[in-house]
Amino acid sequence: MKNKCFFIVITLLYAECLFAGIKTDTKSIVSQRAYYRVIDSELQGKPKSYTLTVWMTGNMLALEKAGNSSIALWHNWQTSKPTLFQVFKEHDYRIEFERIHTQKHQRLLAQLQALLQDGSFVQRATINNKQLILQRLIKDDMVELQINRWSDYKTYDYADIGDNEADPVLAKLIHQGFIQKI
Amino acid sequence: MMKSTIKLLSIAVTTALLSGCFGDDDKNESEPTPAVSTIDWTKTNEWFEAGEQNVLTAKETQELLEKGAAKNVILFVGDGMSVSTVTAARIFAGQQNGQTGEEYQLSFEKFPVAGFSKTYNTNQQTPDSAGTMTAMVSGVKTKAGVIGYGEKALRADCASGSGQELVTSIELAEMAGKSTGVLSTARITHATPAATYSKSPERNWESDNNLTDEAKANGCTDIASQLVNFSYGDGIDVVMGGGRRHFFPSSVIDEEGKSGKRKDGQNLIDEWRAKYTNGIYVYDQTGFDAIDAASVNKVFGLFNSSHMEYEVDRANDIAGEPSLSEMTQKSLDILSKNDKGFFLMVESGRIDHGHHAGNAYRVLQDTVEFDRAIQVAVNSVDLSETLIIVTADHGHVFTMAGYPTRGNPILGLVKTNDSAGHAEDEHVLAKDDMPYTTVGYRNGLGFADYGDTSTGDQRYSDPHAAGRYELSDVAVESHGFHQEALVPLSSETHSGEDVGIYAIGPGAQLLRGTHEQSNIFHAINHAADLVAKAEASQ
Repeated sequence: MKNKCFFIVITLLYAECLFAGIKTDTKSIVSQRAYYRVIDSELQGKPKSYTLTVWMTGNMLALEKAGNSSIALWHNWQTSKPTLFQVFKEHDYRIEFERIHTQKHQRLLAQLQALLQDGSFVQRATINNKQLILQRLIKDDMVELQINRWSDYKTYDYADIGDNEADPVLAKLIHQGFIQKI
Repeated sequence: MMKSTIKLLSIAVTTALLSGCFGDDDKNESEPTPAVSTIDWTKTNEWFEAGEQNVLTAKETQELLEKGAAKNVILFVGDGMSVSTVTAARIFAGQQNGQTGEEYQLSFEKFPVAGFSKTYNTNQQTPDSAGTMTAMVSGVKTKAGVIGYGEKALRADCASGSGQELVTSIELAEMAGKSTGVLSTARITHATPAATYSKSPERNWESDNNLTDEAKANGCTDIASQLVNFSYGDGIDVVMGGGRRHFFPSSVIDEEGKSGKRKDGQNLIDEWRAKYTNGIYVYDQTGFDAIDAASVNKVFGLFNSSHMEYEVDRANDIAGEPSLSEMTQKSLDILSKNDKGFFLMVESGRIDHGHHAGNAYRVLQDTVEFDRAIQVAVNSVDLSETLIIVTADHGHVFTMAGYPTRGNPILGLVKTNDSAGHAEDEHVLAKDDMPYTTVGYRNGLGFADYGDTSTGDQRYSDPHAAGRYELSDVAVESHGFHQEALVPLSSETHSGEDVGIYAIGPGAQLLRGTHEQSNIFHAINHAADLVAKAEASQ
């Protein structure tokens, strides 16, 4: 279930093209993190909720689901060619997906765009029948520090995963499936 | 004497097996007379005639085994190009030409010499590219993940590599005064190309951001910086591939909107320009096309932030990038100006990536483009003085299965023959009542159907789908189709079986038979006499 929920988020944010449409000036972005309560009415027939944290700086955007060990992080997210990283907090590892663009992802990311208006986060939004309600918005140096910490993790290109099974952590991710389920 | 014996044997075999004229010395008179064909197969059958011609051609082929007979050497490496990949690509190429496919010959399959290469690393039964390419260009097998060091070096342990440094054929060629080139459709800092010019106990140290504290403390440098600071001879003359991100700082965004990786602030592209003031740096198709091979001797081409595009996707590249055959032609035009000869390594790096993603269409298109690049070389050089070797670093768990009828689309569903041996109209069903494709994978991400609008490596955006799927209404020949896999893994794996070696030119015969992969270096060294010429030039 964790995987399912997380991948919805990952999928929402995967593609780059959405961000090409964002008019926000990089310099005007204030580093901030938004805590959203997500109400998912489709989970096992009755509404359930969980928390999503969106981390944002001028060139980085990250999405974290409470309780999940994996984070989706975009570099150059305001450009037409952002790069996605999947960050594994427990292992201090990242996998880089430099160019995965699909129409599906673009559509889903377009929905996510609604979360951002004038460089800040909206109070409420609905994405794929899930209600997102802003619980807390924090603007502090912690955002920048945390994202920089994730950016320093050991990084592998997705295309090179198969060549690095000798790395025990990577081998574990390969066998367990580093790609989360939608 | 030998010729006479062979001739007699040939006549005997022909008489006994093909004309149906069995000797009757031991014949039991009660046994029925074997049926005898009235056809003279020796003159009317295309297979027989082609086979005969093949023997005649082989007899005419000169064996040039003299040391130093090869002025030039070209080493083509199809990364992950297993024997099954070659077979499937042959059929794929033939079918693209309107033939049934099986009878088609890729350019390198016409070479007079073929052998096998045992690919294992010193510490792994199934190898990786770092250890295998080190073996091919240095003559010494080593560990997986290790580039340019002997097997006593530990992976990712800089100090352990001290004293284990190996000499490569590119270094020797440069010392001998030859021109040199390294081409790849992967990042130029990736394991295979990196093994030609660098020493790194860890293949992933492509730029300084991945160096460990231990590596820095013990003097190891990243692969990109080793390329630009290559100090043998007058430096590598032609370098083209992907991997631009490893050559400039993380604070800089390149022409295609991608950030660099370097944390040391160095811009190695600027450093290369300063070092080779008459050289040309290019990053796109336009720049590549503008290179005048007649007047330029140094070229540095970095056409993508990471790996270059698959051949199928090349037209979609942001700035545009040349094909492998175009890069090969341009390189040969530049390198062949040197009277002392040249050494060129050409890697088709993304055959491997297509396999890892479980996407046979892209694999086969890249293999066909690799084949074109080899044909370009064959057409451009004097084969009496140029040794061309085509091989792979390792295989993949890619299989051809079932009993498809002759000419069945290689990417298609299996249609077998009926009891009379004629093609069935409908595809065959397995025990689970579902059809299956001829090609597939033993492990990996498995099935996906993205149609003809797919993008390269799209498969990594979706989870495993190992096992069987209903394929009756799926466009299995589209480039977005990903073949079924048995064992679910997030990346399909290399395989451990031997790969082919194909050779032509002086010294080619040294590669007949089954070889340790490191023997390839020794064949090259003998044919081009690299060590002696390098020593003589010092």
